[in-house]
Amino acid sequence: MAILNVKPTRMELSNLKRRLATAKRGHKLLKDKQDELMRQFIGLIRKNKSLREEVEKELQDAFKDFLIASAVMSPEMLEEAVSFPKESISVEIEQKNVMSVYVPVMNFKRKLETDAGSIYPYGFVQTSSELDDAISRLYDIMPKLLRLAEVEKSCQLMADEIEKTRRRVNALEHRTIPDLEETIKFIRMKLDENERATITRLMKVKDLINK
Amino acid sequence: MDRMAYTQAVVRIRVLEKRLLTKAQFNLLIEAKDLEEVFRLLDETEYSKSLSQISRKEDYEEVLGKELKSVYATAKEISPNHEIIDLLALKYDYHNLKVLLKEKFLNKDFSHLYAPVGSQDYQKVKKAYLEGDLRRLHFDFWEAISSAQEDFLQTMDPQRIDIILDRFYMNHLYEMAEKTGIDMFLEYVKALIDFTNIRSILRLQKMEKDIRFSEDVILPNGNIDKDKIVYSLHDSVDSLIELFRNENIHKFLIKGLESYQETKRLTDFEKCMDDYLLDVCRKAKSIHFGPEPIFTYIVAKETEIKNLRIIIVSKLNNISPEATRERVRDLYA
Repeated sequence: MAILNVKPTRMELSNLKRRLATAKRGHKLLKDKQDELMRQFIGLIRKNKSLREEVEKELQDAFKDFLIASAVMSPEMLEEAVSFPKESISVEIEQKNVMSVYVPVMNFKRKLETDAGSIYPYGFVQTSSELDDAISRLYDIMPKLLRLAEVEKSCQLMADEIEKTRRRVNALEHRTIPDLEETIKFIRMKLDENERATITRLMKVKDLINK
Repeated sequence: MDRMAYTQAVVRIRVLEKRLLTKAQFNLLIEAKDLEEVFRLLDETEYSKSLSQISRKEDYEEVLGKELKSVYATAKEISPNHEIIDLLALKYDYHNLKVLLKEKFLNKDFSHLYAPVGSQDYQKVKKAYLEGDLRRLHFDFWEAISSAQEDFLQTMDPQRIDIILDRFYMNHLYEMAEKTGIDMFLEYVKALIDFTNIRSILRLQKMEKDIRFSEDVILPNGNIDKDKIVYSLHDSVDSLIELFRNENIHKFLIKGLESYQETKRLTDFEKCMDDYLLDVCRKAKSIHFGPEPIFTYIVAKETEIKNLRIIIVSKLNNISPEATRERVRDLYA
């Protein structure tokens, strides 16, 4: 705790009082923001966890399918089949504002939107249908994978924001407000002291005059 | 074709056939508890020599690749007539053509994707293609490359490269089989076409493609009429079973279709397909003068290699013996 470096005047006192009021209001607002952020963050984290587990499990299954496909086809033919993709997918990213945190919202944009089979870029004679299954499975996971990326990034951004808010709240709570309060108290005491000194002096003067 | 010219070849093949892995050996391999054991078991077979040349177990592809190469080399050495071997090697030629075209259009290096077996030397084909001198190639290849290339430049669709080359491959194969004048080869190719067609139809159904697309994919020259297959695109599996009940290949086909109906996966269907093709080749067992046994030996050996790959990959990834057994193909022996 420290007393701020100000002159103990009435002017400063009212200034400080104003600042204290602002700081208290700010503190309350930030505290509310922190609570709300925390609430949303916890929900998001839970979602993230379940989504992650789901995606990991599905990916594992899809890779297993892929392995089986690689078992029934020769590796050269397998790689040749998937070497030249027909479809290209881009990701569209938009922003969403959650408690003044800008979180991303991602969407796929397929080039060949109308053709459901465009994810299979190969012929049918030399390839195994196990490869179809593996690819379709991998493709099915993609939207979930994108959701996961979105949620995970949001969590990260939210965590940053929460930390920043918490630091502000703490600074206000443990530093600014006590400092202000103390300084106000100090100035008030000083002013009171001055007043008392004046009164005493006046009394003394009066006394002298009376004598 | 002079059947007597094959007398010695058939004798040599009979000896080689004895060295194929037996059913008992495969059972042991499937039940093996890990890759270590698989390799130990393989060490007691024909594969021991190439096994000793690799340092890491994960390089098993090298062993299988070497074995495939040596099978073709031996067959070429034994057979007085290379056309029989080319019948089976042709798929690698067309695979190489696909790689070649994709390599060119993508401007990438795919040299590791070329299959070293094949009736033509792929290096020569590549050189001729890059120099723009296609006339040096066999006419069929020339035609196949130029149509695939032309189509790609127009549609920019890489899938069509595969589809067009597949079509040329099957036509080429059919013509070659017809030229040999041997019934078994023709039957093999026709069954291959039929099975491939029906498999394609099922896959196209899953991919929700339209009739126009399937017209391009479904191949002619099979025992089953092309149109009959193309127009069955929107039929249910039940009606497909009904539709093909009277075809030559029905026994294996229906089995495959029924299992597809149950599981919605073509795993069994593909196994049935390979099993039937091997079954066609079994006729060669009773042929002592003629080219059939050489053909059959290569088919049997390719099946063996495929089976080994299935087993090794399964062991590498801890897939259960039951699931492995589902995929392992029948043996010739």
